[in-house]
Amino acid sequence: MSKGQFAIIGTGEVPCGWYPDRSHLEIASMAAYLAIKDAGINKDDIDGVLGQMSIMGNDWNTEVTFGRLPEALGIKNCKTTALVSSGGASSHSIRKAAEGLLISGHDMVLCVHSQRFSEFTPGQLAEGFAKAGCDPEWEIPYGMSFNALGAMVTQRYCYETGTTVEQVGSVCVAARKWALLQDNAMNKKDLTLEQVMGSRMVSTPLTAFMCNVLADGGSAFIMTTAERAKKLVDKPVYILGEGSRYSHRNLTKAKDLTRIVTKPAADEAYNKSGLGPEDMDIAQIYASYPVFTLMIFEDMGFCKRGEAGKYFMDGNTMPGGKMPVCTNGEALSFGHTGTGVGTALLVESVRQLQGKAGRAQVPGARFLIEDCGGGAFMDVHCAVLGNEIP
Amino acid sequence: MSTEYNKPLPVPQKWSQEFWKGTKDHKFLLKKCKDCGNIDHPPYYYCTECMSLEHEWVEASGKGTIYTYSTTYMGAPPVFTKEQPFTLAMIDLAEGPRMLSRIVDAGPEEIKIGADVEVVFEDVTEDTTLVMFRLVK
Ligand SMILES: [Zn+2]
Repeated sequence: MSKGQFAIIGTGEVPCGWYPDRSHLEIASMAAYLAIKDAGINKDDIDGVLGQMSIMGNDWNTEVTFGRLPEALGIKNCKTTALVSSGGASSHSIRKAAEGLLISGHDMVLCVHSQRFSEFTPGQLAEGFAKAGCDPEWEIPYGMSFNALGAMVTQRYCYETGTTVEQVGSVCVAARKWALLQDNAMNKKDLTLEQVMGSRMVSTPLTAFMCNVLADGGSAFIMTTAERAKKLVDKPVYILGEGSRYSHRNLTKAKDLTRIVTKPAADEAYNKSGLGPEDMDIAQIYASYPVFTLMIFEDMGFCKRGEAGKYFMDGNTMPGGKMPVCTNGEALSFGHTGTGVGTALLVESVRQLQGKAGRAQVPGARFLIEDCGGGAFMDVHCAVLGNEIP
Repeated sequence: MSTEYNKPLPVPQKWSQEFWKGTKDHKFLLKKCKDCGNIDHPPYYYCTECMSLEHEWVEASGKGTIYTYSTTYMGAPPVFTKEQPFTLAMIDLAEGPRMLSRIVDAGPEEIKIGADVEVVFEDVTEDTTLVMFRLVK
C-alpha cells in the first residue's frame, strides 16, 4: 500500500447497549444504511461486501458466510462477499481484505460489523470469553478468565513501572467523560475515580469498573481508492501509514507482556505516513483493559515508559485536554461489542477527521493514530489516518 | 472422584499426551528438541525453533518463580465460582518456559511477584492430574 492510496468515505453506527429485540441482521442493516447515506453514494456503486465475525454468534456468522448481506442490503452489483475476522484486530483485517478487493477489480467495499451479547447469560459470556482468550488445554482447566488475563498484565505493568492502580483506574474515568459526549455510547452516567476504586474486586487488582461491559452494537464503513474518494466526498479520510506485529496466542508466550508489540507497529505506521506523535491530534487506542491504554499510549510515543499513568490522572486525555485519547469512550465506556471495539474506534476516527463527531468533536483534527489488537492481546495494528495527504 | 468433577479437563493433542501421562505419575515433563535443545511449552507438532520432529520428554525440576499473578474474586466461568477466591499465576520455570497455573496453599496476601514456587500435583480425576504450584517457604 502506498501512502494515502485508500480512503474511507462514510460511516454508520447503531446505539451500543443491551437490546434483546434487535437482531444481528437489523444491526447490520441499520449500520450499512447509515454508512451509505453518510457517504452520499448510490448503493449500486458498491461491489464488495465484507462482514465481520460476531463472537459467539455462530448463526449470524453462517448467514454472512453464505451471502446474506448483499441480498438484504440490495447490493445489486456485488462481486464478492465474505466473513473476515482476527478477533479484536478485525477492524484491521477487514480493512486489509477490502484493500485487497480494491486492487483486484473492485471499486467500492462496504464493511459491516454486527454483534449481539444480550442473548447470553453472564455465566455463558464468562465461559465464552474464557474460551476465546485462553488455551483449552493449558489454561482453561485452571479457571482462567479474560478478566484474569487483563489483571495479570496490570499487576506486572504496575510492578515494573511503579504505576499505581489509581492511575490505571483514571483511564476509566477519562473514557467515561468521552462516552458522555457520544449519543450511541452505552454508559450515560459520569464515573469518578472513587467509584472505580470502590467497585467490587473482580481479579486483583482489577475492580468491576476496570473491566469491560459486553454490549450489543455494530457499525459500518465504506472504503474506496483515494482517487475515487476525492470525486465522491468533501473529506475522505486517508490511510496514511500502517504497521502490524503479531506476538502470541497464549499470553504466557507474549514476547513482552508489558509492552505487547506496539512500538514497532506504531513506528512503522509513523514512518510510512511521514508523521510522528507530535503531529497527532488524537490517539484512538484499543485497550479493553485500562492498563493497555497506558502501555500503548507510551509505545505510540506520547509519554515515556511509566509516565502515562500520571498523564492520564492529570486529565490530559479527557475532553478539552492536551491529547484526546479514545474519543468514543472505548470498550470501557462506549461498550464492548466483541470484534467491533476496533471498528467503533475506526468509525469514530473517521467521524473526527470528517468533522462529524458532534459533541465529541476535537476542533480542527487533521491526523490521528488508531490501533486495534485481538485475542489475548495477540497482536497490534497501528494506522495513521488523516483528512489530507501530507 | 471422576463422576463429581464438572470442570473443564485438558483435551490433549496427540503430541501432548506424554505430558499428561507424566503428570498422572506425578512427573512434570517438558518436550525438548533433540536437534536444537529448545523446550516448547505448550508443546506443538514440531519444534517451533528448528522444525525438527525429533524430541524427548525431560523431567523438569518443578522449581520456578512467579512472573505475575491475579486472585479472582468474581466473574470466573460458572463451574469455578464456588472456588473463588483463587489465585492464577504465570510461573517462569527454571528450565525457561513460562506457564500458567494456580498457586495453592497460600493466602492472596502472601503471593508476590518474584516469589519462589515448587510444583504440586493435583489429582483432579482418576485420569487427570494438573500441575499446580505452592510457595517455597
Ligand atoms: Zn529444535
